[in-house]
Amino acid sequence: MPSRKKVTDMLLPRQAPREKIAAALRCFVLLTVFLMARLQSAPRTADFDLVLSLGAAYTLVTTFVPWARYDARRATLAVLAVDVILVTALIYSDVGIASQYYLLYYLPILHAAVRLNFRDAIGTCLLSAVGYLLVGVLSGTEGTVTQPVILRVLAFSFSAGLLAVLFVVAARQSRSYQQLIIHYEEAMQSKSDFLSRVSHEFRTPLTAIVGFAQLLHEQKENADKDSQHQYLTIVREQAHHLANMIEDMLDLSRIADNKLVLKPEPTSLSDVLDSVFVLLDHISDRERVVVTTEPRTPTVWIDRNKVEQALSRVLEVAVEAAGSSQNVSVKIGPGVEANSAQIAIVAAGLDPDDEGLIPLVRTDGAAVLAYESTGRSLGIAVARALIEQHGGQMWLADDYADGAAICLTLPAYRKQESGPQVILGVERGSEVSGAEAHAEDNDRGRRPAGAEANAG
Amino acid sequence: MPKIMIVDDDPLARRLMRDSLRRADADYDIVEVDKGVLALELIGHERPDLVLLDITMPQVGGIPVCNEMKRNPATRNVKIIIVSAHSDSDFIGAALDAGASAYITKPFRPEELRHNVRRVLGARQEPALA
Repeated sequence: MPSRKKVTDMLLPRQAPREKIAAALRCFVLLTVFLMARLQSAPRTADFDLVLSLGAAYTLVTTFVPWARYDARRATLAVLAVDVILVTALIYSDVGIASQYYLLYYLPILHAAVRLNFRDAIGTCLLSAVGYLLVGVLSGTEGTVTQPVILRVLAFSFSAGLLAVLFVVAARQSRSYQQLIIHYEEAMQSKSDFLSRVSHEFRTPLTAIVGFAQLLHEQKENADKDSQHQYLTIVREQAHHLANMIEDMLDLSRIADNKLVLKPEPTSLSDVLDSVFVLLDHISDRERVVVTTEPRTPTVWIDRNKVEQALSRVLEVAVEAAGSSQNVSVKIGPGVEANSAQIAIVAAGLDPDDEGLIPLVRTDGAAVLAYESTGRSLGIAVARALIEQHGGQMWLADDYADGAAICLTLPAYRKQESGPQVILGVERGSEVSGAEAHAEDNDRGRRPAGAEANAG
Repeated sequence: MPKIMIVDDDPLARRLMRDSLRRADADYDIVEVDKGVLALELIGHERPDLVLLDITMPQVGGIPVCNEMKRNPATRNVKIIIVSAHSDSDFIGAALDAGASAYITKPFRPEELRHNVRRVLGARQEPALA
């Protein structure tokens, strides 16, 4: 059974200490004004003026000085300054001070209204009206409520209520405006961070392009054929890398804006892989990639260019992770879910803790990562986003015998007419594949239906 | 022969700096390191005259390496040139505050690197390249 304190906490949301102090002071000001109004026939003293002016100064400052709500030190100084002015005015002025106390009824109302608490504003307004009524009753002849008193109470209630509503509306508009400003500033900061990150990432390949091109230029009189060839290769590869980064950035931007248009067509995954190999920089990298295709692998319904782009990014990461001595295994087969195909790209060096693979671990959507991606993770981020645009999934599986794997699914091509959906295309098993031999491996890393652990 | 330690996790950037310095008129003994942690371990043993230091590296970045080198009496006098793709004034200010003698922004021209190395090492001016 929850303790009484816990129950109280649940029923009564905790207020910040400043809010409690503010509420207490509002009541204090109301009470003081009420008492002073009641005792206005009694001789006025400096003590009363001091107490009243302090409450009034607090209310004035916290109502009309925006930074008083979060800068307690400056607010205290401001309250004291206003207090000194009010005390001086009250002590050295003899012009109808007692009757002016009624005006201070408005201050707690303003205070509650501007602090964006509609309930407090209305409550304070009603409390003020009741207080004013009591003052009128107690000040009336023999305790009777006269018509002028009722009219004054009604006029006061109406004006106080109107004032409270106006201030609540103004304050809410002000709050909306403040929130807009905050969102705008956050967006500008995100944009600035993004541009800074993009600039940094683009400078990496640019450094190699500019630097080695300059070295080539310097070498023109002492041409060293070997280094010339190496420099040219570096410049070509880095230019290609830079072009890929730009393409990835643009695609992520299009996906985030829902402007990416896919042109799906029935496609063989083996054909896609053949095209992807051409995109790999080194022939030696291509030779280290071993593809096995299971029989009954369905033809997929994809935008071929975009899937090639996604697979090339994944293969580049896998080849890099595998190092120069290990093979990368690409296993193509039917997906666990009906009408889908699955690709598992297995490499020994794939590390789930690698920051380049963060887009496969994060759950908040690959497109969001456009703003967080580093150069290494950008390719994976765009690959995941492109696969998910096709209705597929992409995730990291670490339960393969020969290393971790980047797995992805793609939708199978289905006949569009009504009636039973039929998988039209079935690929033949390739000569290097061994469906039976790899059956156990192929079952590993498959995402269970409905498991969204890594999905965006 | 002045010894220069190149600390950068990007092998292409290390090679570019190495090849740029090899084309200078002065001879340098060059050591390459790909991690900030490793640089801190090796610097006492290698005792370079100058460290060319990248900022963004895994685990330990260039600024902490710079701070640690200036804190350690044994490495306090080793000159440091930051070579980074960060062009923000915040990074430049942080690097210079940490004790770096110069800041080169990537991409850089090889002669820009050589000029700064020469200046920081106190060597005489090399004739301008064509």
